[in-house]
This record gives sequence, structure tokens and C-alpha cells, in this order.
Amino acid sequence: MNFEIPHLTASFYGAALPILLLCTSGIVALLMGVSKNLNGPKANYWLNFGALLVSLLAVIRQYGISGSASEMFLSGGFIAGRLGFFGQGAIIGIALVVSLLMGEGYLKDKFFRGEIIALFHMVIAGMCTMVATDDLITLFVGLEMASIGVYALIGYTSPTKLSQEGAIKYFVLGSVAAAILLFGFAFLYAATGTLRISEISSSIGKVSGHAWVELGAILTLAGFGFKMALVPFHMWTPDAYEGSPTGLTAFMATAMKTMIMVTAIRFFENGLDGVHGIWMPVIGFMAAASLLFANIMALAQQSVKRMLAYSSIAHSGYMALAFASMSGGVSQYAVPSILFYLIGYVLVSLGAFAVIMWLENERCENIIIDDLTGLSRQHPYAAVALALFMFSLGGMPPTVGFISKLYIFNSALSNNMIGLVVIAAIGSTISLYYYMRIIVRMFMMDSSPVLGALIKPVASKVTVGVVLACAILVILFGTVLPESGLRVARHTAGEVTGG
Amino acid sequence: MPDFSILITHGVFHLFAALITLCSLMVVVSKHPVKSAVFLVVDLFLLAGLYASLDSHFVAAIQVLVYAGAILVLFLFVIMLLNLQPEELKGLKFSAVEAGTLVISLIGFLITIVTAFKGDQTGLGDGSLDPAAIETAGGNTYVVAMKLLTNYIWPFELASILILMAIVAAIVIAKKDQKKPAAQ
Repeated sequence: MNFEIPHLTASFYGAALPILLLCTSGIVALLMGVSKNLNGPKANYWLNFGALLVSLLAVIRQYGISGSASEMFLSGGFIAGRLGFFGQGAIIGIALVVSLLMGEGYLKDKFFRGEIIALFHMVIAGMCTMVATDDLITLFVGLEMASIGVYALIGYTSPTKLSQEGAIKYFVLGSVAAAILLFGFAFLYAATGTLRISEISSSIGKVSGHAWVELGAILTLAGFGFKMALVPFHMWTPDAYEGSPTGLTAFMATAMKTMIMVTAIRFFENGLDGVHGIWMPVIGFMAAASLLFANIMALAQQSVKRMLAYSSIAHSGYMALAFASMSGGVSQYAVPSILFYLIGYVLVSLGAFAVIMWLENERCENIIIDDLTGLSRQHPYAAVALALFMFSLGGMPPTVGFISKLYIFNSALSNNMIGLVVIAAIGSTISLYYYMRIIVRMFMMDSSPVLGALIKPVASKVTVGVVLACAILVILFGTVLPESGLRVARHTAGEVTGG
Repeated sequence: MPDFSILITHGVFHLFAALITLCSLMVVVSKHPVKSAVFLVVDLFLLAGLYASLDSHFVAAIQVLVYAGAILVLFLFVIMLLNLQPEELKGLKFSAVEAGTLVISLIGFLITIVTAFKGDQTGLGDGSLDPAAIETAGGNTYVVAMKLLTNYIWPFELASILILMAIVAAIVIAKKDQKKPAAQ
């Protein structure tokens, strides 16, 4: 019997600082909620800002000093490595941007309450746990922390019939998916006798033909597919995205996706690489189904958020395409291309949601596409920014959307997946129609009467800053910086691909 | 002479497994919520038996104390407080196509599972946690406690945050709507 006494060294505290800090600040937020002087939105705003900023700086420093090999702490419970720090940095950065945007919106007083900030910080801590672990139990605890908090945040931040419907759908389906994931883990444990991702990969070769491994791989893939929102596990996405306050929709679309993609990279590249013959066709099928189905469904949507939900399913499909090409070390492009795609998608989504959040107010909580008609007459800059983000989502040059799709297709082609790439190209062409529809409405038609209700005096500095930063980065990564972006992605991927 | 103790252990295991499946099915198909809850109690007791038959006596005891004891009482309280009547749950109706799809996928899944379990050896043998090793290391309770506070300290501590979150989430969701927003 080997009991590994935990060695809580200074380097562990340095590496795990974001998680520990966010758990603490969550508890502090709860306590502040019952204090007399500190329970206003203002105190919560600064607590949130301070905790997230310190965590972000800590993660960036850790990413800078981490070497090519990852370091395991607490029997694999926590990994200090580049991929994990990349995921944590992205998640905390997204959370910081989203909460700053929430601070400008009409939901400010509802969002900056003690219990909401507590849940928000613990969700982020859970996400940060999940992307940096080698242990399946910790992975599951992190996933549940991330999910349970988000269910409550959707349903409670601004309770409406729509948001509660979205929350309950997400909750029920999410619980089933978690059970399926756990079932898969149980099979993998039964087959390989270990709960460590890195040890699964070393013993999976001996049992690769066994049905337990195959069942385990397929069931975990179904669980991951649910969180990635891949067809046929996507049913919750449109309802949850449409129902939640837009800030949380942005958080789910970006941070949740980062979390699950980074975890899945580690899990499939490090753990299940030995049996890629089993899960590769399945994820390939899921990618193809997502690309076709989501893009066709998005054509029929009226609500902007619902359309972006289907678009996020389609974008998961592109990333799943790269997952399918990540087999047995054949393609060295797969993992970097997923990470690069993720960077691009996060930037574009944050920018687009920032514009939409700015347009919303109490009277108009759910913007439909027709509401945007003639936006360029009223707010030309907002219209131009939104158009840029739509171009990027559709994959038009000279934006990051084009380059990142190119890398994904390149990775798939280097693995001879021509059929999947053709399907992806078809899906991409379909998607142009609904992205262009928004642009046509904004620039080529007269103002809609509804737009009168959306009139805003001026944008706040935060919104302008976020939109401008996203727009500049989207263009820079699309024109002059894609190589350095890819270099960062390759550097980050080195932790799992060994390079 | 055949080894009867192994035969009996296997027999007990399969008996419990069959009963658990039956009771779980009854939990789902019972029309009356209290009936479902009672079947769940039986289910959890049987699960404790399953653990005991696998030489995990500590987990079996905890199963009875926590699940069959505490959690289920809470379930019954909630059912009592909500005062659900059986007829309120009749709204769920399946169309023929839905029911057919459900049944076919269930049967398919069962066939897959049964095929998977036909060859029940993975060639790895017992892990480090086989009964004999646990016995020499100091018994179930000792090993569970040591494992929790050494190898699994990180998920163990994070689980406390998870439970705190679940409590906060449950309270805020269940809280009555305030007619006016709180003073700002």
C-alpha cells in the first residue's frame, strides 16, 4: 500500500495560488453578503476585480517560468504545466473581462451580490482545477464545481421564465452527462486499474482490445461531447444560452469551452492515445454532424443569442475535427491548431457578446436579428465591430477566423481526412449566410422601430476597451501575427505532445 | 471439494446485483413518489450489501449511515413538504416512436454491456487495493482514511468547496422571490 504524504512546498502554493485564492475569495464574498457595511455591489465589484486580477497575474507568471516538462503535485491531483496554466489564464482572463462587462450593464446590481460572486469564483476555481489535473476524481470534482455553479448562476442571476427553463434543462441533461462520464471513468478504472490519466496511457496498451476500454472510451467521449456541445449531445445549448443573462452566455461560450477543450486534449492525447482507433471515428462523426446540423439550424434562428449558440456548436465541431486528426502522434498540428482556434474563438466571441451586452437594457433583454436593422446609421462603430466579429466567425480573411480554420483543415488533411474537411467546408459556406444576414441588416437597411428602444448615449470605457482590444487582436492574428500565435500554441501544447 | 466460500460470495454478489437492478427499475416506474423513495431506501441498503460482499465493510457502513439514513430521510421530507399527489405526475406521456427509440437503445446498450462483461479478465490482475493487501495494511477504515488524506487530499478538499457551492446554490434557488429588489 503506498500512501504518498502530500508535500506542500512553496512551489505548490505558487502554482495552485489561483485556485486557492478563488476558493478563499468565494468564501469571503459569502461572508461579506451577511455583513452590514460590505454587502453592496461596490464592495463585491472590487473583491471580484482584485481576486481575478491577482490570480491572472499569478497564472501568467507561472506560465512564464514553467519548463517543458510538467510537475505533479499531490499524487497527480494538480499538474503545474504549460497547458494547464494556458487554460487557467484563459479562463480567469475571460472571467475578468466578462465581470467587468457585467459591471457596465443593466444587470450590475443583480450580478454583484455576495452569493453570486461566491458561486462565480468557485466556478472559476473548479474550471482551473479541471484543466490542471492528472487524476480522474479531481477532474470530475472540478467538472461538477464548474457545472453546479453555472446552473445556479443561469437560473438565479436574473430569474425569468426563460432563464429558469434554460437552467433546469441544463441541470437535468448535465447530470445525466456527468453520470455517463463517471460510468466511462469506472470502466477505464476497471480495465486499467488506475485513476491517473498518465498511467492509463501506459497500461492501456496491454488491454486495448478489451471491451471495457472501448466502452470506457466511448462513454467518456459522450460525457465530454455533452460539455463541448457536439451534436447529438447539444440539445441544452440553445436554451441555456438564450435563457442566461448575456454576460453569462459569453462566459459559458468561452470559458466553459476553454475548460472542456483543454481537459479533453489532456485526456485524449495523454490518456487514451493508445486506443485512438476506438474514439477517433466517433468524434469524427460528431464533428461532421455538428458542422452540418448546427449550421443549418442556425439559419432559422431569430434570436441573436440562439444563433450564436448554434454557431458555438458549429465551432466545437471544427475543434472536434482537429481532435479526430490527433491520432497516435501522426499529426503534430492537431493540438496546436485546437489551441489556436480556441484563442481566436474566445477573442471573437467576447467581442461579439460585448457589443450585444452593450445594446441590451431592461426593456430589451433578448435581441433578435431584426432589432439590429440599420444599426450602422445609429452606431456606426458598434456596427463595424460587430461586422468584423461576424466576418471572423464566418472564417473570412483577413481575420483570425480564417487562419484558425486553415490550421484546423491543415491538421485534418495531414491525416488524410478529406471527407471530413469537405463537410467542414460545406458547413462553413452555409454559416456565411447567417453571419452575412446580420451584416446586411445592419448596413443595407433602414433603422427598425425597435432600435429606438436600444439607443445608447455613449459606450463606457470598459466596453470600448474590450471591443477594441478584441477587434485589434482578431485582425492582428489574422494578418501579421498568426505565426507567433501558432508558436505560442505549439509551445503550450508541448506539455502533452512532448516537444 | 469445491471452494464453497467463493461460490457463496459470488452468489451473494449476483443476488444483490439482480435485486438492485429490480429496485432501481421500481424507483423509476413507481407512480407514487413515496413508493419510489422507499424503493430507493431498499436499493441503497442492497448497495451496502454489495459493498460488504466485496470486503469493503467501512464503505458499506457509511452507505447505510449516510445514504439510507440521512439522505433518504431528507428525500421523504421534501416529498412530504411538497405533498405531491400521484396524479400530478401523470403528465409524462411517450409517443410510440419515443418509447420505441428508448426501448431499442436500452436493449442495444444492455447487449453491449453483457458482451463487454463476458470476458471479465483484463489481464492486469488485482491492483494495489486487493483485500489481502488492505488487511495487511491495517484494515478498511485505516486504508480509506489514509488514502483520503494522502493520495486524494486535493479532490477531498475541493469536494468541500463543491458541497458548499451546492448548498449556496440550493438556498438561492429555493429562496422566495423578493417582491422588491433589496435596498441598494
